[in-house]
Amino acid sequence: MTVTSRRTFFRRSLACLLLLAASPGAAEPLLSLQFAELEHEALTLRQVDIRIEQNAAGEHRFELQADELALNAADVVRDVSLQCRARLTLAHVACESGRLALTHADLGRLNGAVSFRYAFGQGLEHAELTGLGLAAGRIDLQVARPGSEWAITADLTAVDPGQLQPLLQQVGLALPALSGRLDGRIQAAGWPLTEVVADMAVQELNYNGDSVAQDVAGDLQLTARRQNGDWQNELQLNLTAGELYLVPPLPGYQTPPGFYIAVAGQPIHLDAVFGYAPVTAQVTIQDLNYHHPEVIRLNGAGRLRLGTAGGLQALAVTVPSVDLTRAFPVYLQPWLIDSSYNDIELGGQAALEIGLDETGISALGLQFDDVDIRDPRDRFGISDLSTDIQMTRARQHASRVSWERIDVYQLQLGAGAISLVSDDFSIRVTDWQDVALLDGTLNISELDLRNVGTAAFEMHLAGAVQAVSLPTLTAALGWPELGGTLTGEFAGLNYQGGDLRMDGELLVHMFDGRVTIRELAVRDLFGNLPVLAADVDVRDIDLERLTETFAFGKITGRLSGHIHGLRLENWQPVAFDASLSTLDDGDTRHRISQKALNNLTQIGGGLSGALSRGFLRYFDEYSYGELGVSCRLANGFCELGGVERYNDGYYLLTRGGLLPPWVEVRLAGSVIAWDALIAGFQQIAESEVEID
Amino acid sequence: MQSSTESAVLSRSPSIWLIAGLALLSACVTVNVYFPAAAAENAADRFIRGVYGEPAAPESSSDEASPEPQSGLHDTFGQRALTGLLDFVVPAAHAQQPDITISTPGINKLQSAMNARHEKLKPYYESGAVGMDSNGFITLRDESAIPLKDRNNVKKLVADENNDREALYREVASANGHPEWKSDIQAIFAKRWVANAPSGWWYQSAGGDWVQK
Repeated sequence: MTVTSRRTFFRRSLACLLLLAASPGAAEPLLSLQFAELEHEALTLRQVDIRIEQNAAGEHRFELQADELALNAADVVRDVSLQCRARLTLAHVACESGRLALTHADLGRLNGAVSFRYAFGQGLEHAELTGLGLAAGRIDLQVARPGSEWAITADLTAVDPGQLQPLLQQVGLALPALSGRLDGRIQAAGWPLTEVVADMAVQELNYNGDSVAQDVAGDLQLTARRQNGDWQNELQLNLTAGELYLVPPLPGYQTPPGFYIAVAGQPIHLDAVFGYAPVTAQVTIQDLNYHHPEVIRLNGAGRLRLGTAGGLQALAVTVPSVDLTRAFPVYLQPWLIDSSYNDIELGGQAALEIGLDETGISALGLQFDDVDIRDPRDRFGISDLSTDIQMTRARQHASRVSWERIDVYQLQLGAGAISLVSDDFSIRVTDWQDVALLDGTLNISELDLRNVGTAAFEMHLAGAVQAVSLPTLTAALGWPELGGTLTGEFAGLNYQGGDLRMDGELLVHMFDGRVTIRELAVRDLFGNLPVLAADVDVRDIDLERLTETFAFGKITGRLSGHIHGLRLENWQPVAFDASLSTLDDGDTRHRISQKALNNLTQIGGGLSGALSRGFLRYFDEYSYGELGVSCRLANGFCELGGVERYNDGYYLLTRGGLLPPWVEVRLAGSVIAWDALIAGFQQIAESEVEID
Repeated sequence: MQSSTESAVLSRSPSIWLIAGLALLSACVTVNVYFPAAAAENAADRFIRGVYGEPAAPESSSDEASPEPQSGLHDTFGQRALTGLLDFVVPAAHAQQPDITISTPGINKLQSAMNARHEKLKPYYESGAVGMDSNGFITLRDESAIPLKDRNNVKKLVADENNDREALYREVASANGHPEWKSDIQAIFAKRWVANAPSGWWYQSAGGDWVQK
C-alpha cells in the first residue's frame, strides 16, 4: 500500500490505530500496519512496519520499524527501530521506557533510551533520547515544543569531535585529523535553527590542518541567534593547556606566517562578538579581545570570508602596550620569516595600531619606547629607539622618531631625531638633527624617506661627513691603524631596493696626501652577499709616513695613482685596476732603506743592479729613480706591472740619484694569485726581514 | 676580434688589405662560449661536499677534481708567487676543458654560512620534513614531521638556505664571467645536491613527485 497524502492521513491513521488498540478482546497483535511511505511535518518514513501489542496486564507495547527516516528529505538514517510502552488516549499517544536504534551512514549504528508524548492535532510535545552512544561518547537529547518553536538540549559526555567529522563537513567545516574529548551542553531552538547556546569543555584536542592544535584543553561559551537568515554570535574561549600553530588565511601571502602559541600557566583568553551570514560565508567581527598573559593583549574588529575563495577583507587591531622581548618572537617575527631580517631581536615597550585590508596595510600607528633592535648577523643595530608614528591612507599625520645610537656594520652613528609628515604612506621628513659618526659628524642637508614599512623602502640623504679621524675609523673597521681624517660632501646617499649608492665624493686626508672615493655603491647592503664598488684616486701620499705605519721599511717620495673599478665581496677585494707610482711627485727626494728594498724584492722576485747584494749590505739606504706598481685584479689573480717596462717585464723600482749605489727592482713574474700576494704582505708586516 | 677602428689605423701597412679583409671576416664569425657542464659538475661537487661537510664521493660524478695546491705558512713570498703563477698558467694550458671557479670571497662566505646551517638542517633532511626540489632549492615537504615549537625555526632555515643558494648560483655565474650561465649553474647544482646527499633524504623528481633516495 502506498500512501502519498500529507499529515492529515498520518493523523487519521494514528486515530484509527488508537481506536483499534482500545477495542477490548482484540487478538495479539492488536494492530499491524505496513506503509510504503509516511510523511509528518519534516519527517518522511519509508517501508514502515507498525505493530501494537497488548500484554496480560493490559499494557500496550508499540513497535515501529522503518527502512528509512529522512529529515527535510535530505538527512537520511536507515534501519530505524522504535519500541516502547505506549499509553494511548483519545488526545495523546505517549511512548515511555522505549529504545530507539537507527543507522547513520557516517556515524554508524546509534541507539538509546527514548520517550515522547504526542498530542493529536498539536504534534510532538516532548521527547527524550538518552544514553545515545555517539562518537565514542554519549549524548542525551531532550526535545520540547513549549510553544510553536522547537527546543533541543543536547548534553555531550566524552564525545570525540573527530567522529563528528561527517556532520561538520555537511555544514562546510572540513577539519581533518581532528580528535579530542568534548563535554558540555548545547541548546538549540527553532527549526530551522534560530538560537544556539553552547557551554563546552574540551580536552586533548588535536587538529592537523594548515593550523595545528596539540593536546589543547579549554572551555568555550557560545551564544548564537539568527535574525533574517544571519547569525549574531558571542563567543568566550579559554585555553588552559596545549600548543597551537596558527596560520591565518591572509591575502597576498604565498606562505602566510604561522604563529606558535603555547599555553603556559594562566589561560589564554579570547572573547568575540561577531556575525555570520551563511549565504555569503561572510564573518563580521564587531569586537574581539585577546589576552595571552605576559605576552600580549589586543583588541580588534574586522571582516573575513570563509571558504576556498575567502580570506581577510579588513582587520583593525590595537595592541595597547606590549613587552617586545616576549611578544616579538611569537607574534611579529613570523611575518619576517622569508626576509633576511628573520632573526632580529627586539626589546623594549611598544604599542601598535594596525589596519589591514585586501591590499595590505591601510593604517599604522606605532609607539616605541626605548626599543633596542639587535641583529645576530651584526649588520645593524639600533639602541633606545622611540617612535610616535601615525600613518593612514586617508589623511596627513605628524610623526617623530628618535634614537640613541645606530650601528651599520662597524660604523656607529650617534643620537638623532627626525620629524615626519605622512600622507597616504608617503613620508616626508620635515626636521632632523645632525648625528655623530664615530668621532666626527654627519651633517644632513636633505633627508627623504619613501615606502616606509614595505620592501620597497627608499631613503635619500644629502650632506657632509666632517672630521672622522682615521685612527677611529680604521679601529672600528678592524683594519691596521691609519692616521688622518675623513671628510666629504655627497649630493646623495641613496638606499633603494636594498642597494646603497653615493653621489659625490668622500675625501680622506691621510699620510699628508688625499684619497678621493667616488662612485661608492653597496649592492644588497643588508643581504647575504653585500658587494661594494668604488673608484679611488690617490694623490701625493707621503711614502715615508705610509711605510712607517706598515713597518715595510722606510721609503721617501710621494705616491699618486688610482684604484678604479674596486669591487669588494664580503668586504674583500675581488676586482680592481690599480696603479700607484712616484712619477708625479716632481723633485721630491727618492730614498729607500735596506729593509724596504728587501721587502720590495720579495714582491718583485729578484733584485738586480750594478752592485751585488754583498756590497749593498754596507749601506742603510739607497737612492732610486721612480717606484711604482700596478695590479689588475680579476678572478683571484693579480696581473702585476711596475713603473717602467723592460723587455717583457717591468721595473718596480728604477735606478736613479746622483750618487751610487744604485739599485733597481725588476718584476720576475707578471701574474700572482691574490691570496699569495696578501699572505706575502702579511708575512712582511709580521716579521722582521734580515738582509743577507 | 679586431674592431674596424684598429683596422683603419693599420691602413698604411702594405699588407693592410689582407689584414683588413681578415679582420672583417673575423667580425662576421660568431664566437660561442659553451657552458662547461663537466667542469661545473665537478665544481658543484666540491662546493656541496664543503657544505655537507662530508668527504664522500658523489654518485656518477665526472672526473675527480684535482687537489687544491697547498701553500704552507713557511713558504717564502717568492714560492707563493710562483705557486700563484703556476695556478694561473697551468689551467690556461688546458683551456680546452675550462675550469669553473667556486672560490671567491663571496662564494666562500656563502659556503661557510651554508655549512654552519647544514648542521641544523640535517635532522630535517633525515626526517623527510625538508626535501630538495628540482630547481636547486629546498622546501618544507612534510611540516607534520616538525615539532610545533620548531616549525618557524625550520622555515627560517629553509628561507635563509634558499636565499644563499639563489646568491650562490648568481655569484658562480658572474665569478666565471658569464652571468647568463646562472640557470645552467643552477640546473647542475640541482642535480648534484641530490647526487651528493646520503640515502634516505627526499628529493623532487623532474615530474614533481617526491622520491626518497
